[in-house]
Order: sequence, then C-alpha cells, then structure tokens
Amino acid sequence: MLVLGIETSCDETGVALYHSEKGLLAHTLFSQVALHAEYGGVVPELASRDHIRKLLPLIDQVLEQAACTKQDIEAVAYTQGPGLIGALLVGACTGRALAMGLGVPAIGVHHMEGHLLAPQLEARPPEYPFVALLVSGGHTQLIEVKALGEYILLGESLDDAAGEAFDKAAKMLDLDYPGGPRLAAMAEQGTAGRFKFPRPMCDRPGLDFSFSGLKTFTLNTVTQHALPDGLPDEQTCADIAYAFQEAVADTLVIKCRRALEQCGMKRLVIAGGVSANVHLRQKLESALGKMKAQVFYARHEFCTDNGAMIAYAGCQRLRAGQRAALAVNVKPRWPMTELAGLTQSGVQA
Amino acid sequence: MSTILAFEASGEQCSVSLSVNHKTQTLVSHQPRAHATHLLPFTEQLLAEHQYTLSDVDAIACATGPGSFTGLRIALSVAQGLAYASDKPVISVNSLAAMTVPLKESQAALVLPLVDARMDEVYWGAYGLDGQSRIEQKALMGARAGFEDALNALLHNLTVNASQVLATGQAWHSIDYAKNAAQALGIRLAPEDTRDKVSAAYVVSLAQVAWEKGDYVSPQAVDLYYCRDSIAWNKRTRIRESSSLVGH
Repeated sequence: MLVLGIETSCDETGVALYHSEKGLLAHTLFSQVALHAEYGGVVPELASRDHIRKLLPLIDQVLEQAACTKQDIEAVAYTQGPGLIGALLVGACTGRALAMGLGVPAIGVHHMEGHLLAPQLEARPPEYPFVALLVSGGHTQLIEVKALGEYILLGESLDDAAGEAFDKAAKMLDLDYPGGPRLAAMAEQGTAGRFKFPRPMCDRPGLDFSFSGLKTFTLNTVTQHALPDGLPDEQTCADIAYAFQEAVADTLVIKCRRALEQCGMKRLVIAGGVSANVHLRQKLESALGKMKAQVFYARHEFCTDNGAMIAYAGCQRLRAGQRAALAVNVKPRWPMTELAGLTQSGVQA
Repeated sequence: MSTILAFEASGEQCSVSLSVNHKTQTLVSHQPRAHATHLLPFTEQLLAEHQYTLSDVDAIACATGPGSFTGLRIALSVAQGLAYASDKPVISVNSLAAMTVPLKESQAALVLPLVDARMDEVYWGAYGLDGQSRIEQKALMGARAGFEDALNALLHNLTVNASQVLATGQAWHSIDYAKNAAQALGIRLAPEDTRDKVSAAYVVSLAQVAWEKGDYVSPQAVDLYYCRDSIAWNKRTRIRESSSLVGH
C-alpha cells in the first residue's frame, strides 16, 4: 500500500510517500523557522498561510522524487491533532479531499503517535513492547507501549514541556528563536560543575515531570551574574546553558530508568524534537547500558516534525482497516490514551 | 454549458453548490466552527444526486476572500485537494463580488458589499452590476472613526449619487456606524432576502462567467485574498512576548 503522508500541525510542512512493503520512497519538508524567527515564536496565522501555499508543490515534489504519479497513491494520511487548529485544518482538509478525489481511503493520524513510531522507519527498529519518552516543544510524556496503538500514560509534565523549557531558557540567554538547539550548541562550550541546577521531582516517587522551577532557577542565575548590559559574560552563559541542559537530561534519564524498572522492560524509545539532543542520547545510552537496556531513536530529521512518520503511522492504521470519514474533524488537543487500538477497525470519530 | 462545483466558507455559514448547465443546487450549513465537517459530505451528496463523479465536473470554484482566514483556507484546501486529485482547474471568486450576484436585477449603478472584519475593521468593495470591481477591495481600518468620511469620498471618487447606490451585506445592519452612515448619506440597503451571507450559489454564478472567459488556473496557483497582513501579527506578537516568560 502506497501512502501519502501530510504533516501540518505546527511550523513545518512535511510530505512523504511510504510503501508498506518497499518502505519510505520519498520525503520532503519545508520549515517555516525563518518566517517565525523575527516574532520570537510561531505565529499561528502565518503558519497556516504558509502551509496552504506550500502543500501542493511539496506533494508534486515527493511524487517526482519517488517517480510516482498521483494515481499510484493508494491512501492518504494526515495529522489530525494535536497542534495548531488552523495549521491542522490545512493539511487535514487538503489530505481528505485529495483522497476523496483519488477515490482512495484516508486516515487522520495522531501527531505524537507519529513521533513515537518514527524509529520504526530506521534499519534497526524497536520491537514491542517498549517504554517511550516523548519529548518535544509541546510534550513530555512517558508512555508504556504494549503494542502498536496500545498506550498507557505513565507520567507527563505538570507544567512546561522539556522543549519549551529549553526554548525559554534560551530566550533568557538572548539566543534567537528557535532557542533549544542553540542552547544545546552553547552548552558544548560550558564548564561542568560550575553551576548545579536542581533535578525537579526526582526526590519523590512517580513519573511526572516539572520544568517550570528549573526555568525560574535559570532566570535567577542569569540575573545574579548579569553584567550592566543585562547578560552574564559569554563563558558564564555557556556554563548556565551546560548546567541547564545537564539538569533536564538528568531528570529525563532518572525518570526513564524508573519507568523501565516499573514496567519490567528493557527497551526505551525516545522521540520528538528534544530526542535529537545529542547530550540526552549519550546520557541515556550510558545509563541504560548499565541496566542492559537499549535506547532507540529516529535519525535526526525524523526527530522533529516530518511527513514520513505520519505516512508510516497512517499506513499501520489503514492496514488495520481504520478509515477517516468525509467530515474533517481536527483535534487541537487530543490525549494519546484516547486513541483507538489497532484491533478496532472502522470509521474514525 | 458547464459543470462547476463551488465552495464557500468565508463567513459564519458554509455552502457547496453544483451547477450543471446553469441549474444550480446548493447545500448550506449554519453550524458555526464546523465548516470542515460539511464541505466534503455536501460534495458527495450533490455529486450522487446527479450520479456524477468528479470527472464529470469541468472546474472547481472557490470563494477566496476577503473573509474569515480559517474559513477561506478550509474552502480552498478542499477545492485544491479535489482539483489536484482530479486534474481540474480552479476558479477563484472574490467573496465581495459574489455578494453582488443576487442584486443583478436591481437598477443600482453601484453595489457596496460590506463585511465585518472585527478589530474595528471592515472589508468593502464597490461593484457595477456587471460584477466588475470599481475600486480595489480592501480592509478599512479604524473604521468606526472614519467610516462615513470614507464612504463619502468613495462616492465622490466614483462620481456616483448616493441614491443610485445599494448597500449589501449583514454588516450594514449589525455595525451601528455603518448603518448610521448609510442613513446619513441616503444610501439604500439591499432587501433582506438578497443580502444573505455569501453563498456558493453566488460563487458558482460568477465562476460560470469566468469559465467561459477561460479565467481559471491550476490548483497550485490559487492565492487567497486576505486583505490584512502584518499589522495584525505585530499586535499579537507583543501579547505573546509579554506572556511568554510567565509560563503556562
């Protein structure tokens, strides 16, 4: 089955073609980062305007890459939520109409399920069951994955998502949007041990996270060391970045280890934008190596939003007999635990 | 002779029309914030009634603004998806121009459609009964303070007497300053049954004219007519920035 995947939940327009037997045939992405940079964050209306301008040309592009025609498309998968409502509507309406026009089935995909399944596109995909850590700008969740479509929420952030905390800390250090990756780069120049940041909620049992206190701690440290121009000197900024990243990574590692022990599992999947963080990957591999557990993650470009994960996730659900109705319903908020299992075939709500 | 499918979702209602040789059938929903749930089921229903498929359609028309940004994108996304899949051209129809269609039989020299754009702004345009635009349609900002003057200037520039003008659109009734300005200048308001919100039936009517003139494009080439750009985000950006460090 050849599935066209469309992702438009936030500020990246992603399109891909995935074939159930041949694997990923083509994928392309247009990132709006430059468009939103001058506003210091994603402007939803601008994101929607750009999605609708870019989507059809990107579909043309993947068809050309894969040397396919649109008549070869056997199903269409699009991100149904969670995300920005206006942005979701563009991809969902275009995708659903395209499927109707081609006379093929369609499926709405949960964006975070897409992320969670992205490592399945790699040469060494994880087997089920496993524990998944979903870390992005909008989510920090630990999920027990019993099988494809069977998810149990183990814990989540009670306030900011890890990626959001990264972006906000970056803003305090006057780094341009998107700050997370810039902060990680700055941390490489930092000195270990100069600052010690707290590891929030690690001193008590449970698998929930909280990053807002860490954010305040960062702001206080920045203020205490600020020079007259408002910012600490360059080395101090790098040291703060280092301590911040270390604290977030440590917290995630501690909770991941705990989650694996609690579920009695030896496989951890990390997915979402923050899973591209090299420091976090190294820490997890080292910590989990000691408990003889394995870490799985997607290649860098599939950690952030992309169409390939949507095409893949959609393909699995389509093959299980699930279908989207003609009425397009996007879900800006959509807990993953509300997802139908794969054994429930039929028309989606 | 033509078969045209048309989408309209620029306001509070949404509608789909199928016109076969100038006989038009329209399905309308008044359910707010649910346009995306209706357009494709309506399309399926209209095609089924004629035992048609998309291949029987010559072109797909869409109201491309001005109007609700999200609504415009819902209609265009659906139109583009269907047109792309079935290799059909798209006819872009201005939403304000579509509002003049039900007044074709009136004797007015000029029709003035008006749409409430919120945030103290309105969208307006001026049309002859031939559907031709007489001014550039635009968003009129700070409308409350300057509306009557702007209206007066418009009539003066187009050398039209207020008595020959017909004002159409719910905004002439729902916005007090617009209603008062029309009254003060002696501009007539269109009869209630003709100043319905924009409908796909009106869109399809202008699309037929465009189709005969060869005025259509590929689905990739359609642009929306937002009328409003950066000013709105600057305001929004400031709000976002002032709240962004406060947290969740």
